[in-house]
Amino acid sequence: MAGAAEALKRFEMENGVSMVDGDGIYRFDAAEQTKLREQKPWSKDATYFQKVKISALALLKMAMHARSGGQLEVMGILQGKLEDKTFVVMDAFALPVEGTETRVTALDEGYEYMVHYQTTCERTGRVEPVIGWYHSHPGYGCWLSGIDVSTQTIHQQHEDPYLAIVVDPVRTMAAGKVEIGAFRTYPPNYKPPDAAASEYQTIPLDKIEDFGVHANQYYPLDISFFKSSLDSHLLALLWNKYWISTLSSSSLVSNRDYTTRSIKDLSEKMDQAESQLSYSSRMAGYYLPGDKKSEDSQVSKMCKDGTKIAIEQLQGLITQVAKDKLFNMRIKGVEMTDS
Amino acid sequence: METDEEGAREGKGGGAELSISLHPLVVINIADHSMRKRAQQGNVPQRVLGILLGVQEGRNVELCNSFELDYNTNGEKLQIDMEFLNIKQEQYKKVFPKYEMLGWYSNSTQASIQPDVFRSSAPQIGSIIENPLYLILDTSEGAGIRDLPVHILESEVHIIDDVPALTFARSTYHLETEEAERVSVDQARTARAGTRSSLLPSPDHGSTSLVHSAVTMLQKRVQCILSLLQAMEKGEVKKDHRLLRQVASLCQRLPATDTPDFKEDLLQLHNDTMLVTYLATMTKGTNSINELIDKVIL
Repeated sequence: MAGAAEALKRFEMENGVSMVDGDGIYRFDAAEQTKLREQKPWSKDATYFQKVKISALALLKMAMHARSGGQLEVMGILQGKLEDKTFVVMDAFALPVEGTETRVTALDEGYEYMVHYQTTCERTGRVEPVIGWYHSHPGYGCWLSGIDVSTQTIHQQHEDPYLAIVVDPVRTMAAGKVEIGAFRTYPPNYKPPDAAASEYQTIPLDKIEDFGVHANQYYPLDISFFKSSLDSHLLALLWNKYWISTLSSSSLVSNRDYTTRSIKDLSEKMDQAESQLSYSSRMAGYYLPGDKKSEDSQVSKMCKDGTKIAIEQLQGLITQVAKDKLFNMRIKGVEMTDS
Repeated sequence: METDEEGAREGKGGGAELSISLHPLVVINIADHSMRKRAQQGNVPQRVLGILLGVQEGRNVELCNSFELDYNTNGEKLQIDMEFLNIKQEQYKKVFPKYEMLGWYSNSTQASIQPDVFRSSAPQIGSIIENPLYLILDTSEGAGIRDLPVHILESEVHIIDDVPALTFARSTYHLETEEAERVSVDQARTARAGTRSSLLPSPDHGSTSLVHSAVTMLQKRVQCILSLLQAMEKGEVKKDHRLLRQVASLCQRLPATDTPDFKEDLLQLHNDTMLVTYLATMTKGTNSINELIDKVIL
């Protein structure tokens, strides 16, 4: 035993493993952060930041806050630090602001609160500065709207580094995984290399215009999650109690409203596509090449939307069928007697 | 556990027990608080204190959130910064207007309530919250093998020798969860890397994997019962009739729901889903035809 401990010690020495093993991310080195902030490598490279690391705490806080907002958009502030090309989001707190999509000044309203909160935070060991904001898009996916883009651009100009995170609580429930997106906008005069073929996602009809116009002004960042050793221990224990509720709930029932809305939305899109299609086919002789591309994508977009809804439904059904098989199996001819 | 008696001496006073439900956010919040204090103080475990927020309706208490407190150690005595507490409370009131202060928390390194901390902080908290709850999270490594290392104590005021004194009784709690929380916890637990602003749900992710881990868990437990039964059959373990009866009653409860109504509903669900899938397939077909026509016209 002693030999093993000795060997471990040597290994740690040689590899520079700190005692906090993996929890080192929880330390905050003010000097290093200031240095990084002074160098400003992000001012030279528009796409300097590529990754986001989110702590389990911040993820849970954002998910709960977004959920508590229901159909209203809510917003909050991210606290964390910087690493090489990476934002590390340690914590988040809510702002007393709702309905961010309709008002430009939403973040200004919360500003006073934010400053106040930030100063009180430092006394409890939360020393990380503000590095961005988050808000929710209940039911319509993770992307930046026109207002979000302008808010984010202003912040990136004056308070860089600044990060925008969007969470969708409704889709989180429907898909069974956290729908979250992290974004940074390009500087105003920056031209993205190729009109970034951003991955397709379903966006309701009444928002699609907003999405299309601004889609090329920002880029997404890779998201990963981290947790401390204590967190992972506790989370595992939590899961020990949780699995029962996973089995006893049905995503088909709890998301019925959302499913109905997505199907309705899809049918509206279909109507629109139909009228456009019949219109353009009459004009087909004149400008086929230009039109063809957008037409194509419209129908194929609908196809993707439909597939998405179907996959979600099927996943829900699989759950139900699995439960039915597990708990309602009748063993014929075998009477359950005392074992 | 032994040292509990110190503080919870008067335990189990009159009155109906509180039904306490605990949200995982509180647990993670406390864990994070102690973790970062520790990381900043050079890996020395630090004592942390904070306030529990939640909703109370009659005897039902729901602990939803928490915030941190600042304190000074004045020799033996522990002095909570009350001004700071009030500022924080107002801040949280703005964001979560329905949450009230329901108690306070601290961490510990043993499964004890550490009377010293408790005695010095209880009167201070008691002065602002009526009948506060006290939550202790054991933040030492490897605490709580099967259950969460969380203890919740309920306070009562007793008049002893004409002096009001706070006494505490251990309470039970259960975990309260919402779908959104479950999904987040599972995601954080497995640390499944989110893809780049993920879009289409890939078939092997999401709810199916949630179900998979849940069923695996169930299977483990059933396996555990089964191996016990087998050992009993072989005579390796002494027969425990009480346990056996419990197993039998568990088996008797299967099938869980086998009513015609349920079958009908399930069939309905089946049909709805099939319809959606059918429509999606039709859309796919339309898409293919559309592409084909475009090619022919060209």
